[in-house]
Amino acid sequence: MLNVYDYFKRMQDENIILYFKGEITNNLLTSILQLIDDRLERRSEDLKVKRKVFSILLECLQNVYNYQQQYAFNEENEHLQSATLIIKRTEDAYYIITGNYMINERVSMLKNKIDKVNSLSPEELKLFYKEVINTQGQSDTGGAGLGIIDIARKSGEKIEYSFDEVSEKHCFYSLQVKVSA
Amino acid sequence: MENIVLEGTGRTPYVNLDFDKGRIELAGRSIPENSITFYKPIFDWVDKYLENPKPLTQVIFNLEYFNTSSSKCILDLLRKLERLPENGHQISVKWYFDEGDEDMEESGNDFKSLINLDIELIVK
Repeated sequence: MLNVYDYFKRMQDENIILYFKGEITNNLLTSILQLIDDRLERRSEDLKVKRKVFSILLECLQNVYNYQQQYAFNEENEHLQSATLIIKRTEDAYYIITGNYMINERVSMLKNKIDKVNSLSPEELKLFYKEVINTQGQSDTGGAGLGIIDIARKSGEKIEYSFDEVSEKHCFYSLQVKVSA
Repeated sequence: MENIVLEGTGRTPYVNLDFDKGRIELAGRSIPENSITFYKPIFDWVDKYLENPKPLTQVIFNLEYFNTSSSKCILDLLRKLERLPENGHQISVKWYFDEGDEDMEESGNDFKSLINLDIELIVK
C-alpha cells in the first residue's frame, strides 16, 4: 500500500494547505475558490492579505483554465490536460503555485512577459497596467496579458517561474506567487 | 424601459439597473468565467438608457472582487457613461472599498485616472 503518512507528513513539513492535481474545469475553479474563501475566513486573516490571496489565486487558475480551453486536446495528448495547484502558508507568507503542460512555442512569449513584469517598479507596473487595459481589445482574453500584470501588482514580489522540458513538443510550466502575510 | 435586477452569486455581482431613478449599481463579486457574455445585457441596457437619460445618473460600484477580464468591462461601461456630461447631463460615480483593501482602492484610482469622470472613492 501507498505510504499515506509519508505523503501527508511531507505536505505538513512543507506547509502545504492545499494540493490539487487534475484537470481544472470551470466548476472545479468555483469549488476551489469557495474552499479557499472559507479557509481564509476561518483563519481570520487580515482583510488585505485575504483579498490579495483570493484575487491572485483567481487569476492564476484562470490563466491555467484559459490556456487549456485554447489548446486542442485529443485522445493522444489527453494526459497533458492535468494541472496542479499548491497553496502554502508559511509563518510570514502565502505561496500560490500552479503547474501545467504547455507547448514549447508559447514559452518565449510567456517568459518575456513575466521577465518584463518582474523588471518593473510598482509605479511602472501601474502605468503598464493602464497602457494594456487601454489598448487591449475585448477579444484578447487569454494570453496572460493583464492577468500577469495584475498578479505582480497585487503580490508586490517577483513572480517565480520555470519551464521543465517534457518532450520535443511540450514542457511543464510552473508559476509561484508570494503574498506576504 | 425595463429595469434589470440580478441577484449576486459566488462569481457574479448583484446588478441593479434602474431607469426611473437613473441608477446603475454593481456589488459583490465580478469573477465570471466569461465576462463579455455577462456584461453584454448590461451594456445593451446602458446604450438604451443613454438615448434618454435622467438629468442625474448615479453609478455605484461596491465590489469585493473583480477579475482582469471584468476590469475591461468596467472600463468599457465607464467609457459609455463618459458621454453623459458631454451632453450636459449630470453623473455621480461612487467607488466603494473596504477599509484596508488597498487593491480595491488602487483600482478605483486606476479608473479615475483612465476616465474623464469625477469618480468618488469612498471607504466603507
